[in-house]
Amino acid sequence: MRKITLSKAVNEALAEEMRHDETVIILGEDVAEAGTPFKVLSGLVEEFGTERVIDTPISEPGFMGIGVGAAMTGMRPVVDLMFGDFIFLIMDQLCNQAAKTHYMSGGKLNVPLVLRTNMGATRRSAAQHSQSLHAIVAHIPGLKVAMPSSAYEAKGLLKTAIRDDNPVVIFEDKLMYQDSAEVPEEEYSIPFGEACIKREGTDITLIGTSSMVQVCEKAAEMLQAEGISAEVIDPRTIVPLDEKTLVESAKKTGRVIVVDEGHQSFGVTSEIASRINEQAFYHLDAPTTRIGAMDVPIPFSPALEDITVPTPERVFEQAKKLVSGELINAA
Amino acid sequence: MRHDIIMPALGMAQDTGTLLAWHKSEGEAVTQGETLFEVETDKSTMEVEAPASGFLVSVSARDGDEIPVGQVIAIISDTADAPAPGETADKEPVEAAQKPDSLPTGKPIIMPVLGMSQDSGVLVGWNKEPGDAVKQHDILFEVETDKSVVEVPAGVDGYLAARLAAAGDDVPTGETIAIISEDPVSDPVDRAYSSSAVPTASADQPSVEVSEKAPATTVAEPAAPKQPEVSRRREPAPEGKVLASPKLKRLAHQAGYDLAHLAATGHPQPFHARDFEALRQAHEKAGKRSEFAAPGAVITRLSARVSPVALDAFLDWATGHIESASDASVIAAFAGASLADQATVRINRRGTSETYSARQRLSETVATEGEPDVIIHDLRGTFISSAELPPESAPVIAIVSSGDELMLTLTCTNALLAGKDAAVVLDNFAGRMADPIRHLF
Repeated sequence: MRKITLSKAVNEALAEEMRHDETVIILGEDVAEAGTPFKVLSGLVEEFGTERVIDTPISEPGFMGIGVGAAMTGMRPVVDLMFGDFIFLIMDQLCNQAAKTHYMSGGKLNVPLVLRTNMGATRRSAAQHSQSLHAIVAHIPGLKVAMPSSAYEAKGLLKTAIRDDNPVVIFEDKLMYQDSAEVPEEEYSIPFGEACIKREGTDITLIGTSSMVQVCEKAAEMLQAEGISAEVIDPRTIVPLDEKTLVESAKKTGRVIVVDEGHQSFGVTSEIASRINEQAFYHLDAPTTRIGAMDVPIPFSPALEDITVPTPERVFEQAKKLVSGELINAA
Repeated sequence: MRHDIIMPALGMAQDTGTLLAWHKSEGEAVTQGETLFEVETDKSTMEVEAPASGFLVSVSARDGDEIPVGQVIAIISDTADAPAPGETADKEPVEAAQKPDSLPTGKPIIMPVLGMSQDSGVLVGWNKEPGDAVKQHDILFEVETDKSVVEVPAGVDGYLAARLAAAGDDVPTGETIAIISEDPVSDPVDRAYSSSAVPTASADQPSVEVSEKAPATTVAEPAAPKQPEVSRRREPAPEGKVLASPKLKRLAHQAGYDLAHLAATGHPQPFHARDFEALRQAHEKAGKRSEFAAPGAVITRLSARVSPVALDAFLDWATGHIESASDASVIAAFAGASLADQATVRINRRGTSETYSARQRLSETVATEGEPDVIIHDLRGTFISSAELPPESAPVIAIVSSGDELMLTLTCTNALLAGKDAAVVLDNFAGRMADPIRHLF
């Protein structure tokens, strides 16, 4: 099968959906001529014109508000937020308006809007351009949250998001835009709420989101060399979350590590670990543990930044402890 | 002291910068903080300051050039002369040192930084032959990082005048690996990467490099000594607690096993599902020993000596006159009556085991089945002269011939029979054995 970059996969998904449905439009900063700083949207304005690929002023609340209004009145806007960190600028439009309009209008209004943004550290972009803030929107009922882990997921999930009648936030890892993966030529979509078992195993379950799937897969390779069989699962969407697949794997292996690039406290790792403890408690042979980014602003220093977020080595060490039956937090 | 002047990374997603204008010219004296040149990115125009005082030399970029981020474009030197190739630099020898005069002129193409914390990239292969005409967006080569394989476009129109690395070479990021000239070249250069002029990533790194690598080394270190799984580090359990995983607790509950039995064996805690087999064995062992005599229980031992003369005479008479009576049934009746009005007594003698429902009347003491209230080991007539047998599921009384006397030894736990009750029981039994006529009253 052909291999394309995640960047190209996103571009293809948008182009396909824009050809299918003329209500699909793109809004955001530097989306047209510049094709975003990551060149993800290059070529779209040439095909679809500036009526449908719209460069906005540098005002995140402004263009997000336009996007919500357009969605309520029949369009399917894909709003491009240049950095995930800017999500704090659009919290009212996203969380108070988009998330609640369907509910508060008694189902009379829909907001079929997609917010495309990014996450991920280790790009030397410092504390205000390196955050992974997906847990914050996942907390708000009414928003769906997708986290593609490769070009294949990026395309399939984005197409599902555009066709969804509810607001969806997609977080792409900005370090993965140039990563290639096998993507079919023909059209396909990936349903929300279906986790993907990336690797089957029997001794421990590693649940990873977005680029942390790669971290888990590397850790699984290292564990295999030690004779430990690790299962790697990618939830693909955290809202809705495929609890069943995660819990079944937890029951099978009896040990779970949840890895996510958001800050560890009050984050996605905590939520998933809680659900596993609640639903698989009597099958657990070790405490379900979390590995997230440290609870500090992402440092600019490369030496510090690299150890702030989860690494394969940390996952490997933790998995060995759990599988060997080492006493963890028993005091 | 020498300072390399590089094209800085000014934007978030910036690969190159356009040099708008030099504010200083070659050979000119500069003071730290003075504006050296202006750069335009896709977002803005910025002035770049001199990082040190000295003379601006070895200027390799002209106004209007688009230059990859990180590329050295000039040097600030202590003297107005260009440094000799061998001169030691603050960081690394510059390209001037590694590019002999024989190399064609043109735009240098560097090994790009593609992944997180990437120090070098492996050149997978070239997509263009030396001398080929290339377009800006043509894929020039492929690089493999620790994460993926990435195709790198030429970035500029021209001719591939030099390939300075071969497929398979691991090239530090920022190093020049190709030159694209504006005009065709007659004898393009094609060679493997040479690290002689530039330190590669190895153990004896200069200090600047080491600090970059520090985190990777730190996290990789614990993985180095491969610990076999059996050497798991486990700590003693807190006093009186059994530490076990929820899974093992569930398995134990379903099987009806008690984790305390495993704890009593000293099996290392915490227990996990893998300890289930050890738990099963501990359970079976405990079941055989006694389900009552838990380890550590206080065992009471009492002994009495009596003369066998009256007993022997009584047994002779009883077995001759009472139809159902035997030595065993008579002793069982004595023992049962010592314990309660009615009791079940098991008598073990010469390898056989009989159980009686003991009543006051000897003729009513008959064989039965079931769990005994007391167990008698009748060892009279054997060479054994002393016996203290552990309590089982009931108090145990051993009867042995010791010289001219019979030695009666009762053993029990507090759970079976409290100490003072045990004394009453044994005294009662010994009285009947010494003087059987007491049994009748």
